[in-house]
Amino acid sequence: MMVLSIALREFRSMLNSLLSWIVLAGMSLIIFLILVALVNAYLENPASSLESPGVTSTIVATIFYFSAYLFILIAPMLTMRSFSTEFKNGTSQLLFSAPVSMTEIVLGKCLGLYFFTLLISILPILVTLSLVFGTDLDNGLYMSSLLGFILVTFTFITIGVFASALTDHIGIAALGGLGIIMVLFWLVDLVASLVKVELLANALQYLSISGHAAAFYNGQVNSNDIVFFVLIITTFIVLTIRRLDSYRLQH
Amino acid sequence: MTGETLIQVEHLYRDYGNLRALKDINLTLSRGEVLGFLGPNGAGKSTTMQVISGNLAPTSGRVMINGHDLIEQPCQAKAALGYLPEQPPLYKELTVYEYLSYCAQLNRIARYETPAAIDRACERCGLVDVRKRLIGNLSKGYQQRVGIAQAIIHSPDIVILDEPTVGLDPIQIIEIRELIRELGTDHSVILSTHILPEVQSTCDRVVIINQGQIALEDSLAGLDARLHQGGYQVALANAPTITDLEAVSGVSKADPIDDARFMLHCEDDFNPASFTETAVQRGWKLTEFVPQNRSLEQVFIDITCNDTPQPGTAA
Repeated sequence: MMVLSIALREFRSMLNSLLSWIVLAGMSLIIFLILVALVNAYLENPASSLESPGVTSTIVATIFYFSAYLFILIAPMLTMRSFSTEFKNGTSQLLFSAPVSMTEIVLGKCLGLYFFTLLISILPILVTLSLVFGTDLDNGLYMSSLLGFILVTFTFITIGVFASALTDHIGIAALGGLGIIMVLFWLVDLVASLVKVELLANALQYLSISGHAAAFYNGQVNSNDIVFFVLIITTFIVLTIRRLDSYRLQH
Repeated sequence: MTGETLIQVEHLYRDYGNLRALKDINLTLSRGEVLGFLGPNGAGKSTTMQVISGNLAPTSGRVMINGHDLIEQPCQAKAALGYLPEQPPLYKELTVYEYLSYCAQLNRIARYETPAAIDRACERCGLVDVRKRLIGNLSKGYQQRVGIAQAIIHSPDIVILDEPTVGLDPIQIIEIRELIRELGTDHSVILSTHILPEVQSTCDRVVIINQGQIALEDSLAGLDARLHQGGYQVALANAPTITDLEAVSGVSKADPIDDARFMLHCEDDFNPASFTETAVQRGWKLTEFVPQNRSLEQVFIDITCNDTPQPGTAA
């Protein structure tokens, strides 16, 4: 109940913000361009045999894959204000002096941003569904790509919220969020490929978001990957709660 | 009315790095009491308010609110609390009504009771006409009122107001003070301020804090008594000599201001009635008799410039 109230306020403040609409507009333009490019490429060289990948794989999965990529930049922009402006404007004091626990505050914030992310994900969903008018889609692959996209974006959002709780400066919050996302999305992969020690390389490989997301775009839904995303989201939520508790100690 | 202790602060310390902002603060607040919390800038007023409201963790010490420990049972303790920080915590993109209904939800007011609670808070704070306007478009005075409305929306037992009249125009200040006095009838209020007349016009009891320590704790009557140690200004058309004046019982010293006016410095046993009688009997032709209160500012400066703290000293 309390979580929902906080979530709805966060969601509404996203709707009131100019930045979110600019992000939405930019994203719809990019996704549309990608769609046109992909459809063109597909029409020039359509799949001839049964073994070759179909429309769902070459276009739908790719669009979800690219949209998730876009979220590396979009997520920090959406989340940078979540806690830092509250700290800066002093509205955090409203939350901290109300009979609300830190857990409820953080869950509310994240949930509100998840709602907004779902609203944004209507864009790639509509764009890909428009293909229904011309061809048949592979429903299983469609759903698994969508699931992968949502899990990846929720992870990015949670990381961004954590970064925002670290500072009262939105620029630093955005850069921090971007930094953590980059590290977990790419850099661990890169480092893992350089590390000679197999155990360490495997451990680093396990932390890679892109590695765990890849299977979804191929139509595989592995419990292993889902557990990874649930774990990483939970970790960052807990870190944010801890951060807010210590905020009262030091600020 | 009084008796029940709502806030009990024991041995509160708070450090910012090497800076000790609060040293051994002890405070109590009873039901129905308006406590003035005075101090110069940087004395630790806001820090104390933030600790009591749960925004800042104390380095050591304990805060009990309505019988609940603020650290161990934060939700129960905070439910009894309404807090207006120095800077009102407003979401400028919301309307007054939306904002207050969010505050009502945060304070766990049931959904069906929310409209009534908002109406009550708006009425008390004079916000009825602006409730559909965006908070960002309101004047500073109205924003301050919204801040107060937020603090009282759930009818908390305790209202904590941190410098509520800063930046307001004189009329708004008077209105806010009236509101605080009104709040004092059914809530306990802690009012932090560095404006002394504000305390005189609203508070029952005064705590003066300086350099993180409590320098004085007294009732308003006790504080008033300190103020009356100032003496009297008299005008005598048929002026006697200074020695004659100083001979009157209770007058310790008389300073001439001009030919007819004198400043009388008095001892505790000075009786104004017997002085006027003496003046009439001796034909001094008393034309003015004005008590000269020491201003609260002077008392304040005396206390805060005195390096040795004297907690609990009564006048």
